[in-house]
Amino acid sequence: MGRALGEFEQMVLLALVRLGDDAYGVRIKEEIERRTGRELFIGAVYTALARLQKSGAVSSRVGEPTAKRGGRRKKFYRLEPAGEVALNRAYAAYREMTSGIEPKLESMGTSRGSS
Amino acid sequence: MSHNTPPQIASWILTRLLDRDAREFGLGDLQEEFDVRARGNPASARRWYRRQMARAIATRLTPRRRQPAFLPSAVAHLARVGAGTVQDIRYAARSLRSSRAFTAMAVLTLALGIGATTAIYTILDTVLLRPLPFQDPDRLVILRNGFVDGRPGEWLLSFPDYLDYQAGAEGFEHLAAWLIHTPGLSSDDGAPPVRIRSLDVTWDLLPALGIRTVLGRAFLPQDDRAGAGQPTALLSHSLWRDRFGSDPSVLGREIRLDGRPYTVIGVLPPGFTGAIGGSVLPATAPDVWLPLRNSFSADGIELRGLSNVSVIGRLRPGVSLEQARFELASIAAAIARQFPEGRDGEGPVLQSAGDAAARPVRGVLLILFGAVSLLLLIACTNVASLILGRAAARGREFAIRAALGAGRGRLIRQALAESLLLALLGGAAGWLIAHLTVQAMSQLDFLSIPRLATASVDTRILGFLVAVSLLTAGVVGVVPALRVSRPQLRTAIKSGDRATAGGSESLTRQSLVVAQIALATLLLVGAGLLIRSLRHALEIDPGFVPQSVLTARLQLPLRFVDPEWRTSVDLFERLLARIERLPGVTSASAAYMLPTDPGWSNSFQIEGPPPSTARERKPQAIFRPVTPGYFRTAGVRLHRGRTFTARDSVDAPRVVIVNESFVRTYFDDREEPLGRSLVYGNWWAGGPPEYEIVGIVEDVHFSGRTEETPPATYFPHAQQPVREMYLLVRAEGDPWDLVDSIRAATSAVDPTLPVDTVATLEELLAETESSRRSIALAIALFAATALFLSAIGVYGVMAFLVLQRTREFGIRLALGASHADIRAMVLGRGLTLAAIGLLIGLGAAIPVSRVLSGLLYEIRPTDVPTFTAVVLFLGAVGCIATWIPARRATRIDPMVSLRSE
Repeated sequence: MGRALGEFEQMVLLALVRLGDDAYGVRIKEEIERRTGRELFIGAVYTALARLQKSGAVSSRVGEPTAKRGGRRKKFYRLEPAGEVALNRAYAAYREMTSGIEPKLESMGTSRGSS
Repeated sequence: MSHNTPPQIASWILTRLLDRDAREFGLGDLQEEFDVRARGNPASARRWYRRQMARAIATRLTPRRRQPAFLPSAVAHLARVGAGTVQDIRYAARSLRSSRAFTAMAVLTLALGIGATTAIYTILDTVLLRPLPFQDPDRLVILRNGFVDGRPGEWLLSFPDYLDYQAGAEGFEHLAAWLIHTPGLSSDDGAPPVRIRSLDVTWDLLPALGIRTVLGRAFLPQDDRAGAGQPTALLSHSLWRDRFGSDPSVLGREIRLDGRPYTVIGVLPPGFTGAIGGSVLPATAPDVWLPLRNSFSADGIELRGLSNVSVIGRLRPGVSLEQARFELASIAAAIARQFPEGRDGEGPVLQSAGDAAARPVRGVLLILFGAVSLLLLIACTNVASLILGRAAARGREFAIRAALGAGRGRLIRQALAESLLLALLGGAAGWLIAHLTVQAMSQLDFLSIPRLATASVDTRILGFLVAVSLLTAGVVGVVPALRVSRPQLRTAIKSGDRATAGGSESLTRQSLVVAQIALATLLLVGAGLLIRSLRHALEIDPGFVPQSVLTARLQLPLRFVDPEWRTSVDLFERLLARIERLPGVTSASAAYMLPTDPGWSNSFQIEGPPPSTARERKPQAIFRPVTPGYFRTAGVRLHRGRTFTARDSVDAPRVVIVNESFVRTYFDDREEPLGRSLVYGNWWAGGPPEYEIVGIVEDVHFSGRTEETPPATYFPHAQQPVREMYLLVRAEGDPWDLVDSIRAATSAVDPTLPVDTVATLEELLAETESSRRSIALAIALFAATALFLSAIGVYGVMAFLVLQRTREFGIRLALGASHADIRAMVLGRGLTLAAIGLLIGLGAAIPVSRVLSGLLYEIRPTDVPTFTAVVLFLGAVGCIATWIPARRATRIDPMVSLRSE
C-alpha cells in the first residue's frame, strides 16, 4: 500500500485495532462515533472499508446469521500487514509532527474557552 | 406495527439503495443499532433510522469520484446522470466565463440574429398572420371600384352607387360606408377650436364590425338620416378620456364641430381605435364618429360623379367571396345601364378585409423576413464556426478527459450544455434587442403600419424565439460535440493543441466562412440595389419646388358658405393678400390638396368630336381648385397657355388648366388641347358645366416621385370653391420662422379660423419616400450586421489557422522563408475563402435579387455598379479581417515556435 491514508481511513483502521475480532460495520461506526463525537452514516464506513480492502489494507469474512439482526449475517474486517504498515507510517508521521509541541497543541482552542 | 422494528418504508427504500453485496450486512448493522437505540427511545430511534435513509439518498445524489460500493448500478447510473447534468451546466458556465471574448462574441452574434428575426417576425405576425381585431373577421370584405379587365388601380365608390349595392345585395349582413373628415372641435372656454378627426359612417358600420359602445348607445338608422334633427356623435375612448376626463355624464352633452352642434350619445371601447389602414379603415385613429347622412359629409353625397366613400361589408354566414362577387357584378351592370356616364371598363372589386389590410406591406414584410432569415443563418454559421474553433483548440483537454474515462455521451453532453447555455444567453439578449427594435419601429412609424402600435413581443413569439434558440443550440452544438467525441486520443494528447485540428474540421470551418460570405453578399447586393433605387428616386424632379415652402390646413366653418361661396372666396383673397405682405414671404396661395397628395378624382367628357386616342379608360382626372398664385408659389412650371388670374372669378367664363399627363392621355400629338372644353356632369350645380382649357402645366408627382402622374385638372378657386384648403407660403429664408406671423394674420382676418397640420413641403415630400427609405434602411442595417458577423467569422478562422500553424511557420522561417512569404500565404488563404464565398453569393444574388424588383426603381436586379461595389466592399473587408492574423503570423519567432512543443 503505497499511498498515504486519508484521515477517515486512519480512524477506520484504528478502530479495527481496538475492536480486534469483533470488528464489523456497526461496531466500527460506534467506536469512531464514541471517541470522536461525530455522527457517521454506515454507508460512509462501508465505502472506506471497500476502498481499504481494494488496496489490501484490510480483509473481510462473513459471519453466521444471528437472530438479533433480523437473521442477517455480519461482515467482519481484519487489519492486514499492508494496512499495519500504512497505519504505522501514518502514526510515525503524526508523532514526528507533534513531538515536543504536545502541551502547546493541547492548550490550543481551550484557551479561548468555548464552554 | 411494533415500536421496536425499523420504519417499513425507510427500510424498503434502504434495501433498494444498498448494493447487493453490502445489502445484508448494511441492513444488519442498521437493525442492530436501531435495536440498541429503540431500547432507550423508540421514537427517536425511528427518526434516526429515517435519517439514515435520507443520508443514503443524499450520498447517492452527491457526485463523487468513487461511488459507494454498495449502491446498485441502475440507481447509480440514474443518479450519475442527474448529478452529471448539474455538473455539466456548472462546468459549462465556468468554461464560458473563463473565455470571455469567445462568449461575448458568440452571445452577441446569436443575439443579433435572434433579435432581428424575432422583431421582423413580430411585425409580420401582427400585420399578416393575426386576424383583424373584429368579430368573425373572415366574413369582413372591402368593396371598391376597379377595372373589370384586371388592370391595376382601384378607387372609391360614390355614395349613390353604394346605396344601390346595399339595396340589392342579398349576400351581405351589412354593407357600410365611411369617409374621413377633420372638423374643428370648439371648446367651452373660448380657446381656438382644435382640429380633430371624424369618421363619418353609415349607421351599420359598427354592427358590421361587431363593435359595441362601452357607454351609451351606437347609431341607429334614425340617426343616419338627412335632416334628422340635431345630429348625434360617438366619442372615441381616448377623446373621452383626454378631453372629457372619462366623465360618464358626457352622454347627452352637446359638442360643436365646425360650429355645428352634435349630441354625444355614446363612447367606443378602449381597445378599438378604428385605425387599420389598407383601405379597411383609416390609417389614423378617428376621435369622433358621426352619422354620414347627417353631418358635413352630407354635402354632395347625392352625386354619382363624386367617388368618395369607402365600403366595408360583412358577408352572411355561408356566402363565399365568389358568390358575393357574382351578385355585385349583376347589380353593377344594372347601375351602369341606368347611369352609363363615365363607367367604361369599371366594375366592383371585392376582397377580404384581412387581405386588403395586409396587402400594402405584405411583399415588403416577406422580403424583410427573408433578409433577416439570411442574417440568422449567418449568425448560426458564425457561432458554429466559433464553437468549432474553440473545440479544436481544446482538443487536448477533451482527449485527456476521454482518456480518464469520460464517455463519448458525456463529452457530447458537455459540449451540448455549453451550446445550450450560449443559446439561452443569446436568446435572452435577442429578446431584449427584438423588444427595443419593435418599439423603435412603432415609434418611427415604420412602413406606416397603424397596427404596429399594438405589436409586442408576446408569448407566442417568445416561444418561437426559444425554439430558434434551441434549434441554433442544436445546430451549433451537435456537430462539434460529435467531432470532439472521436478524437485520436494518443495523438491528441501527445501533440498538444497544435496538431489536433486535422483536415476535416478545418475544412468544415472554412466552408462555414464561405457560406457566411455568400449570405452576406446576398444581403449586400439587396441593400445596394435598394439604396441605389432610393438615390435614383431622389434625383427625380417632383414637378414642384419643395424648398422653403410652408404649408398649413385651413378648413372653413360652414357659416362661410353661401350659395355662390362669395364669402369664402373673398376671405381667402383677403387672407392671402395679408400673408403676402408679411416680411420674409415671397408669395402665398391656397389649394385644395397639397402637391404631395392626389386627393380626389372627377369624371368628365371632352367636348366636341371624340379625340382620336384610344379611350378605354374612364375619362377621369385629379380635381384641384387653386388660387391664382398657386403655380408660382409651388414652383409648378407653365408649359403653354396661361395661368389663373384674379379675373377668373365666379362671374367670368369657366376655365381649367390641365397637366401634361392629361394631354398625353386624352389627346394625340396633332390635336390642340388649348381652347377645347371639358364638360362636367352635375358636379357643380351653381354654374355652367363647361370649362375651357387655357393652360398646360408640367406633371406633379402627387403620390411620390416614383409614382406615375395621373391626368390632373386645376380650377380657379373662385369658380370651384371648396371648404378644405391648404395654404402654401414661399419664404425667403427658413419657412418655420413664418408660422407665428401666419397664425396672427389668420386670426386677424377671422379669430375663429383654425390653422392646423403645419408642415414644410420638403418634409411632406420626404414622407412620400419614407416607406422606400424604411426598407432600404432596414436591409442596409441587416447587411451591415451580416458584414460585421462575416468579418468576425473570417477573422476567427484565419486567426485560428495562424495559431494552428505557428510551428509550421516557424519551421518555414527557420528554413529560409521570409516574413513576406508567410504573410502572403495567410492572406492568400483568407482571400481565397472570401473570393469563393463572394462568387457563390453573386451567383445566388442574380436570381434572388429578382424578388426585390417590385421595390426597385429604374434599376435592374442585375445592376452592374451595385455588384461591382459589393465585390470591392466585401473584398476590402475580407482583406482587413485577414490582414490582422497575417501580420501576427509574421511576428512568429522561429525559435520560440519550435520550442513551444
